[in-house]
Amino acid sequence: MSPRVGASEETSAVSDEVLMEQFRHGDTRALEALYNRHAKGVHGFLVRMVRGDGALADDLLQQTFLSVVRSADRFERGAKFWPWLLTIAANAARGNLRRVKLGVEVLGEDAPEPSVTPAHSDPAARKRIEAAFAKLPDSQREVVVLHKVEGLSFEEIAKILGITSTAARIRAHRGYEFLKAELGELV
Amino acid sequence: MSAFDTARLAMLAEAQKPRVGWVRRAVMLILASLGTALVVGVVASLLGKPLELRITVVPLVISGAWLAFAATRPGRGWMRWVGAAAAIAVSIALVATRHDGSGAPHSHSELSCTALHVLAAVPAVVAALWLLRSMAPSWVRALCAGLAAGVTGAVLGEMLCAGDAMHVMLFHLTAWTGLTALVVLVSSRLSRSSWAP
Repeated sequence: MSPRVGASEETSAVSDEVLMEQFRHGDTRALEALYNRHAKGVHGFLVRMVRGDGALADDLLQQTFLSVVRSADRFERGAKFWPWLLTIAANAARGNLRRVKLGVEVLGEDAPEPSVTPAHSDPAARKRIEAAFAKLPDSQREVVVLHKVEGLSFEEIAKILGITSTAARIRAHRGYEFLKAELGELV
Repeated sequence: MSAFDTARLAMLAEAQKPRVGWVRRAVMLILASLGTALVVGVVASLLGKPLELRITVVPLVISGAWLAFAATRPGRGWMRWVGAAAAIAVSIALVATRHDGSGAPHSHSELSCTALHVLAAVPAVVAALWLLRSMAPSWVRALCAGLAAGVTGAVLGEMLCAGDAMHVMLFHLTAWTGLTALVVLVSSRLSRSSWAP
Protein backbone atom coordinates (compact mmCIF):
# COMPACT_ATOMS: atom_id res chain seq x y z
CA MET A 1 0.00 0.00 0.00
CA SER A 2 1.49 3.34 -0.99
CA PRO A 3 1.63 6.22 1.49
CA ARG A 4 -1.62 8.14 1.80
CA VAL A 5 -0.78 11.36 3.62
CA GLY A 6 2.29 13.13 4.94
CA ALA A 7 4.51 10.16 5.80
CA SER A 8 7.97 11.19 6.99
CA GLU A 9 10.93 10.79 4.64
CA GLU A 10 12.38 8.14 6.91
CA THR A 11 9.40 5.82 6.66
CA SER A 12 7.81 6.71 3.34
CA ALA A 13 9.61 3.95 1.45
CA VAL A 14 8.83 1.31 4.05
CA SER A 15 5.80 -0.93 3.58
CA ASP A 16 2.90 -0.93 6.04
CA GLU A 17 3.69 -4.48 7.01
CA VAL A 18 7.32 -3.66 7.85
CA LEU A 19 6.18 -0.64 9.88
CA MET A 20 3.74 -2.84 11.77
CA GLU A 21 6.52 -5.31 12.50
CA GLN A 22 8.69 -2.45 13.75
CA PHE A 23 5.87 -1.24 15.99
CA ARG A 24 5.45 -4.74 17.38
CA HIS A 25 9.08 -4.47 18.43
CA GLY A 26 8.33 -1.25 20.27
CA ASP A 27 9.02 1.45 17.66
CA THR A 28 6.26 4.03 18.16
CA ARG A 29 7.58 6.13 15.24
CA ALA A 30 6.52 3.27 12.98
CA LEU A 31 3.06 3.41 14.54
CA GLU A 32 2.89 7.14 13.95
CA ALA A 33 3.94 6.64 10.35
CA LEU A 34 1.11 4.15 9.89
CA TYR A 35 -1.29 6.63 11.44
CA ASN A 36 -0.07 9.40 9.14
CA ARG A 37 -0.58 7.19 6.12
CA HIS A 38 -3.98 5.83 6.93
CA ALA A 39 -5.86 8.03 9.40
CA LYS A 40 -7.59 10.09 6.71
CA GLY A 41 -8.45 7.04 4.63
CA VAL A 42 -9.89 5.23 7.65
CA HIS A 43 -11.82 8.33 8.69
CA GLY A 44 -13.32 8.67 5.23
CA PHE A 45 -14.30 5.00 5.28
CA LEU A 46 -15.87 5.41 8.72
CA VAL A 47 -17.83 8.51 7.72
CA ARG A 48 -19.40 6.49 4.90
CA MET A 49 -20.02 3.57 7.19
CA VAL A 50 -21.87 5.64 9.80
CA ARG A 51 -23.98 7.64 7.36
CA GLY A 52 -22.03 10.86 7.57
CA ASP A 53 -22.02 11.13 11.37
CA GLY A 54 -18.71 12.98 11.70
CA ALA A 55 -18.57 12.91 15.50
CA LEU A 56 -19.13 9.16 15.59
CA ALA A 57 -16.54 8.67 12.84
CA ASP A 58 -14.02 10.69 14.93
CA ASP A 59 -14.68 8.46 17.91
CA LEU A 60 -14.43 5.31 15.79
CA LEU A 61 -11.15 6.51 14.27
CA GLN A 62 -9.71 6.64 17.78
CA GLN A 63 -11.17 3.22 18.64
CA THR A 64 -9.69 1.79 15.44
CA PHE A 65 -6.14 2.95 16.13
CA LEU A 66 -6.39 2.06 19.82
CA SER A 67 -7.33 -1.42 18.64
CA VAL A 68 -4.27 -1.50 16.39
CA VAL A 69 -2.09 -0.72 19.41
CA ARG A 70 -3.82 -3.09 21.81
CA SER A 71 -3.99 -5.95 19.32
CA ALA A 72 -0.72 -5.52 17.46
CA ASP A 73 0.12 -9.15 18.17
CA ARG A 74 -3.08 -10.22 16.41
CA PHE A 75 -1.70 -8.93 13.10
CA GLU A 76 -0.37 -12.06 11.45
CA ARG A 77 2.87 -12.19 9.53
CA GLY A 78 2.21 -12.37 5.81
CA ALA A 79 -1.10 -10.52 6.09
CA LYS A 80 -1.73 -7.16 4.42
CA PHE A 81 -2.05 -4.22 6.81
CA TRP A 82 -4.66 -2.12 4.96
CA PRO A 83 -7.37 -4.82 4.80
CA TRP A 84 -6.64 -5.68 8.45
CA LEU A 85 -7.03 -2.02 9.41
CA LEU A 86 -10.29 -1.77 7.47
CA THR A 87 -11.51 -4.93 9.19
CA ILE A 88 -10.96 -3.26 12.56
CA ALA A 89 -12.66 -0.05 11.40
CA ALA A 90 -15.61 -2.01 9.97
CA ASN A 91 -15.93 -4.02 13.19
CA ALA A 92 -15.88 -0.84 15.26
CA ALA A 93 -18.49 0.79 13.03
CA ARG A 94 -20.75 -2.26 13.05
CA GLY A 95 -20.41 -2.69 16.80
CA ASN A 96 -21.36 0.90 17.42
CA LEU A 97 -24.18 0.90 14.89
CA ARG A 98 -25.55 -2.27 16.45
CA ARG A 99 -25.39 -0.59 19.79
CA VAL A 100 -27.54 2.30 18.61
CA LYS A 101 -29.80 -0.18 16.81
CA LEU A 102 -29.32 1.12 13.30
CA GLY A 103 -28.22 -2.19 11.81
CA VAL A 104 -30.36 -3.90 9.15
CA GLU A 105 -29.33 -7.21 7.57
CA VAL A 106 -30.45 -7.85 3.97
CA LEU A 107 -29.21 -10.35 1.40
CA GLY A 108 -29.93 -10.71 -2.29
CA GLU A 109 -28.74 -12.18 -5.58
CA ASP A 110 -25.79 -11.42 -7.86
CA ALA A 111 -25.55 -8.85 -10.72
CA PRO A 112 -23.16 -6.31 -12.32
CA GLU A 113 -22.66 -3.09 -10.39
CA PRO A 114 -23.20 0.44 -11.72
CA SER A 115 -20.70 3.25 -11.18
CA VAL A 116 -21.38 5.31 -8.07
CA THR A 117 -18.41 7.64 -8.30
CA PRO A 118 -19.51 11.01 -6.88
CA ALA A 119 -19.75 13.91 -9.29
CA HIS A 120 -17.39 16.19 -7.37
CA SER A 121 -18.18 19.19 -9.56
CA ASP A 122 -21.91 19.01 -8.84
CA PRO A 123 -22.75 19.68 -5.17
CA ALA A 124 -26.43 18.78 -5.66
CA ALA A 125 -25.53 15.42 -7.18
CA ARG A 126 -23.04 14.81 -4.42
CA LYS A 127 -25.73 15.48 -1.82
CA ARG A 128 -28.08 13.04 -3.54
CA ILE A 129 -25.36 10.37 -3.62
CA GLU A 130 -24.57 10.88 0.05
CA ALA A 131 -28.27 10.70 0.92
CA ALA A 132 -28.64 7.49 -1.09
CA PHE A 133 -25.60 6.00 0.67
CA ALA A 134 -27.09 6.94 4.02
CA LYS A 135 -30.29 5.07 3.13
CA LEU A 136 -28.44 1.86 2.26
CA PRO A 137 -28.75 -0.92 4.84
CA ASP A 138 -25.50 -1.22 6.82
CA SER A 139 -24.55 -4.63 5.47
CA GLN A 140 -24.85 -3.40 1.88
CA ARG A 141 -23.22 -0.03 2.48
CA GLU A 142 -20.08 -1.54 4.00
CA VAL A 143 -19.63 -3.85 1.02
CA VAL A 144 -20.30 -1.07 -1.51
CA VAL A 145 -17.85 1.26 0.28
CA LEU A 146 -15.17 -1.41 0.54
CA HIS A 147 -15.62 -2.48 -3.09
CA LYS A 148 -16.27 0.74 -4.93
CA VAL A 149 -14.54 3.34 -2.76
CA GLU A 150 -11.68 1.37 -1.23
CA GLY A 151 -11.21 -0.76 -4.34
CA LEU A 152 -11.02 -4.09 -2.53
CA SER A 153 -11.84 -7.37 -4.23
CA PHE A 154 -14.83 -9.44 -3.07
CA GLU A 155 -12.39 -12.01 -1.70
CA GLU A 156 -10.73 -9.32 0.45
CA ILE A 157 -14.12 -7.96 1.53
CA ALA A 158 -15.24 -11.46 2.46
CA LYS A 159 -12.17 -11.83 4.69
CA ILE A 160 -12.77 -8.46 6.32
CA LEU A 161 -16.43 -9.08 7.06
CA GLY A 162 -16.13 -12.75 7.88
CA ILE A 163 -18.54 -13.79 5.12
CA THR A 164 -18.19 -15.74 1.88
CA SER A 165 -17.19 -13.92 -1.29
CA THR A 166 -20.55 -14.94 -2.75
CA ALA A 167 -22.36 -13.24 0.13
CA ALA A 168 -20.21 -10.14 -0.45
CA ARG A 169 -21.17 -10.12 -4.14
CA ILE A 170 -24.82 -10.53 -3.25
CA ARG A 171 -24.76 -7.66 -0.78
CA ALA A 172 -22.92 -5.48 -3.26
CA HIS A 173 -25.45 -6.31 -5.96
CA ARG A 174 -28.33 -5.39 -3.72
CA GLY A 175 -26.55 -2.18 -2.76
CA TYR A 176 -25.87 -1.21 -6.34
CA GLU A 177 -29.43 -2.02 -7.34
CA PHE A 178 -30.67 0.19 -4.52
CA LEU A 179 -28.36 3.04 -5.54
CA LYS A 180 -29.41 2.66 -9.16
CA ALA A 181 -33.06 2.98 -8.17
CA GLU A 182 -32.33 5.94 -5.90
CA LEU A 183 -29.98 7.83 -8.18
CA GLY A 184 -31.41 7.02 -11.60
CA GLU A 185 -29.54 9.04 -14.21
CA LEU A 186 -26.53 9.67 -11.93
CA VAL A 187 -25.27 6.09 -12.12
CA MET B 1 -7.30 20.25 18.67
CA SER B 2 -8.69 18.25 15.74
CA ALA B 3 -10.13 14.77 16.01
CA PHE B 4 -7.06 13.48 14.17
CA ASP B 5 -4.72 15.00 16.77
CA THR B 6 -6.83 13.65 19.63
CA ALA B 7 -6.82 10.14 18.13
CA ARG B 8 -3.07 10.34 17.52
CA LEU B 9 -2.35 11.38 21.11
CA ALA B 10 -4.64 8.69 22.52
CA MET B 11 -2.96 6.10 20.31
CA LEU B 12 0.56 7.15 21.30
CA ALA B 13 -0.39 7.21 24.99
CA GLU B 14 -1.84 3.72 24.63
CA ALA B 15 1.36 2.54 22.96
CA GLN B 16 3.28 3.39 26.14
CA LYS B 17 1.16 1.03 28.24
CA PRO B 18 2.07 -2.62 28.71
CA ARG B 19 0.06 -4.93 26.45
CA VAL B 20 -1.31 -8.39 27.11
CA GLY B 21 -0.88 -10.61 24.06
CA TRP B 22 -3.34 -13.22 22.86
CA VAL B 23 -1.11 -16.12 23.97
CA ARG B 24 -1.06 -14.85 27.52
CA ARG B 25 -4.84 -14.41 27.46
CA ALA B 26 -5.28 -17.98 26.27
CA VAL B 27 -2.92 -19.25 28.99
CA MET B 28 -4.87 -17.23 31.59
CA LEU B 29 -8.08 -18.92 30.47
CA ILE B 30 -6.44 -22.35 30.66
CA LEU B 31 -5.09 -21.60 34.13
CA ALA B 32 -8.46 -20.28 35.28
CA SER B 33 -10.22 -23.34 33.91
CA LEU B 34 -7.95 -26.34 34.34
CA GLY B 35 -6.00 -24.74 37.19
CA THR B 36 -9.16 -24.23 39.22
CA ALA B 37 -10.19 -27.83 38.55
CA LEU B 38 -6.80 -29.03 39.77
CA VAL B 39 -6.90 -26.87 42.92
CA VAL B 40 -10.46 -27.93 43.81
CA GLY B 41 -9.56 -31.57 43.13
CA VAL B 42 -6.49 -31.39 45.36
CA VAL B 43 -8.41 -29.65 48.15
CA ALA B 44 -11.21 -32.24 47.92
CA SER B 45 -8.61 -35.00 48.08
CA LEU B 46 -6.97 -33.44 51.15
CA LEU B 47 -10.40 -33.28 52.77
CA GLY B 48 -10.74 -37.01 52.33
CA LYS B 49 -12.83 -37.19 49.14
CA PRO B 50 -11.53 -40.08 47.02
CA LEU B 51 -10.45 -38.94 43.55
CA GLU B 52 -11.46 -41.06 40.57
CA LEU B 53 -8.92 -41.12 37.77
CA ARG B 54 -11.11 -41.66 34.72
CA ILE B 55 -9.48 -41.82 31.31
CA THR B 56 -11.96 -39.20 30.03
CA VAL B 57 -10.07 -36.53 31.99
CA VAL B 58 -7.29 -36.67 29.37
CA PRO B 59 -9.40 -35.70 26.32
CA LEU B 60 -11.23 -33.18 28.50
CA VAL B 61 -7.99 -31.42 29.44
CA ILE B 62 -6.74 -31.50 25.84
CA SER B 63 -10.06 -30.15 24.56
CA GLY B 64 -10.09 -27.40 27.19
CA ALA B 65 -6.61 -26.20 26.24
CA TRP B 66 -7.41 -26.45 22.52
CA LEU B 67 -10.67 -24.51 22.95
CA ALA B 68 -8.92 -21.73 24.90
CA PHE B 69 -6.31 -21.30 22.16
CA ALA B 70 -8.89 -21.63 19.39
CA ALA B 71 -11.05 -18.93 20.99
CA THR B 72 -8.13 -16.54 21.21
CA ARG B 73 -5.88 -17.17 18.23
CA PRO B 74 -6.22 -14.74 15.31
CA GLY B 75 -7.36 -16.40 12.06
CA ARG B 76 -7.46 -20.24 11.94
CA GLY B 77 -11.26 -20.51 11.97
CA TRP B 78 -11.01 -24.27 11.51
CA MET B 79 -9.47 -24.57 14.98
CA ARG B 80 -12.69 -23.31 16.53
CA TRP B 81 -14.86 -25.78 14.65
CA VAL B 82 -12.52 -28.64 15.55
CA GLY B 83 -12.64 -27.51 19.18
CA ALA B 84 -16.43 -27.37 19.22
CA ALA B 85 -16.64 -30.81 17.59
CA ALA B 86 -14.14 -32.17 20.13
CA ALA B 87 -16.22 -30.78 22.99
CA ILE B 88 -19.31 -32.56 21.64
CA ALA B 89 -17.37 -35.80 21.18
CA VAL B 90 -15.96 -35.60 24.71
CA SER B 91 -19.42 -34.87 26.12
CA ILE B 92 -20.73 -38.03 24.47
CA ALA B 93 -17.78 -39.94 25.90
CA LEU B 94 -18.49 -38.60 29.39
CA VAL B 95 -21.98 -40.08 29.22
CA ALA B 96 -21.03 -43.26 27.36
CA THR B 97 -18.34 -44.23 29.88
CA ARG B 98 -20.87 -44.10 32.72
CA HIS B 99 -23.24 -46.64 31.11
CA ASP B 100 -22.55 -49.25 33.76
CA GLY B 101 -23.94 -47.01 36.47
CA SER B 102 -20.63 -47.59 38.17
CA GLY B 103 -21.11 -45.04 40.88
CA ALA B 104 -22.04 -45.59 44.45
CA PRO B 105 -25.32 -44.06 45.63
CA HIS B 106 -25.15 -40.30 46.03
CA SER B 107 -24.41 -39.05 49.50
CA HIS B 108 -25.47 -35.56 48.50
CA SER B 109 -28.07 -33.78 46.42
CA GLU B 110 -27.45 -34.23 42.71
CA LEU B 111 -27.93 -30.52 42.28
CA SER B 112 -24.81 -29.94 44.36
CA CYS B 113 -22.86 -31.33 41.39
CA THR B 114 -24.40 -28.66 39.17
CA ALA B 115 -23.69 -26.04 41.82
CA LEU B 116 -20.04 -27.14 42.06
CA HIS B 117 -19.78 -27.18 38.27
CA VAL B 118 -21.05 -23.61 38.03
CA LEU B 119 -19.17 -22.20 41.05
CA ALA B 120 -15.86 -23.75 40.03
CA ALA B 121 -16.25 -22.22 36.57
CA VAL B 122 -16.62 -18.63 37.84
CA PRO B 123 -12.90 -17.72 37.48
CA ALA B 124 -12.82 -19.29 34.01
CA VAL B 125 -15.98 -17.48 32.92
CA VAL B 126 -14.46 -14.17 34.05
CA ALA B 127 -11.24 -15.00 32.17
CA ALA B 128 -13.24 -15.97 29.08
CA LEU B 129 -15.16 -12.69 29.08
CA TRP B 130 -11.96 -10.70 29.65
CA LEU B 131 -10.42 -12.52 26.71
CA LEU B 132 -13.44 -11.97 24.45
CA ARG B 133 -13.50 -8.25 25.27
CA SER B 134 -10.09 -7.92 23.69
CA MET B 135 -11.27 -8.76 20.17
CA ALA B 136 -14.11 -8.14 17.74
CA PRO B 137 -17.38 -9.93 18.56
CA SER B 138 -17.60 -13.46 17.22
CA TRP B 139 -20.10 -16.00 18.44
CA VAL B 140 -17.87 -18.91 17.42
CA ARG B 141 -15.01 -17.55 19.50
CA ALA B 142 -17.44 -16.97 22.37
CA LEU B 143 -18.70 -20.53 22.00
CA CYS B 144 -15.17 -21.89 22.27
CA ALA B 145 -14.31 -19.66 25.23
CA GLY B 146 -17.54 -20.69 26.97
CA LEU B 147 -16.85 -24.37 26.37
CA ALA B 148 -13.28 -23.90 27.66
CA ALA B 149 -14.64 -22.25 30.81
CA GLY B 150 -17.15 -25.07 31.32
CA VAL B 151 -14.40 -27.69 31.13
CA THR B 152 -13.54 -26.83 34.76
CA GLY B 153 -16.66 -28.45 36.14
CA ALA B 154 -16.55 -31.29 33.64
CA VAL B 155 -13.04 -32.25 34.82
CA LEU B 156 -14.16 -32.02 38.44
CA GLY B 157 -17.15 -34.18 37.61
CA GLU B 158 -14.85 -36.83 36.21
CA MET B 159 -12.61 -36.70 39.29
CA LEU B 160 -15.15 -36.36 42.07
CA CYS B 161 -18.55 -37.56 40.89
CA ALA B 162 -19.61 -41.19 40.80
CA GLY B 163 -23.01 -40.55 39.24
CA ASP B 164 -24.40 -42.60 36.35
CA ALA B 165 -24.87 -41.58 32.71
CA MET B 166 -28.23 -39.88 33.34
CA HIS B 167 -26.74 -37.90 36.22
CA VAL B 168 -23.83 -36.73 34.05
CA MET B 169 -26.22 -35.69 31.33
CA LEU B 170 -28.69 -33.86 33.55
CA PHE B 171 -26.46 -32.32 36.18
CA HIS B 172 -23.07 -31.84 34.48
CA LEU B 173 -23.59 -31.42 30.76
CA THR B 174 -26.56 -29.12 31.38
CA ALA B 175 -24.34 -26.95 33.57
CA TRP B 176 -21.60 -26.98 30.92
CA THR B 177 -24.10 -26.00 28.22
CA GLY B 178 -25.60 -23.31 30.42
CA LEU B 179 -22.20 -21.78 31.18
CA THR B 180 -21.34 -21.77 27.48
CA ALA B 181 -24.64 -20.08 26.63
CA LEU B 182 -24.02 -17.53 29.37
CA VAL B 183 -20.58 -16.65 27.97
CA VAL B 184 -21.94 -16.37 24.41
CA LEU B 185 -24.81 -14.16 25.56
CA VAL B 186 -22.82 -11.87 27.86
CA SER B 187 -19.90 -11.53 25.44
CA SER B 188 -22.20 -10.22 22.71
CA ARG B 189 -23.13 -7.35 25.02
CA LEU B 190 -19.64 -6.54 26.29
CA SER B 191 -18.03 -3.23 25.43
CA ARG B 192 -14.87 -3.91 23.45
CA SER B 193 -11.33 -2.87 24.34
CA SER B 194 -10.30 -3.80 20.80
CA TRP B 195 -12.10 -4.45 17.52
CA ALA B 196 -9.30 -6.47 15.96
CA PRO B 197 -10.34 -9.77 14.34
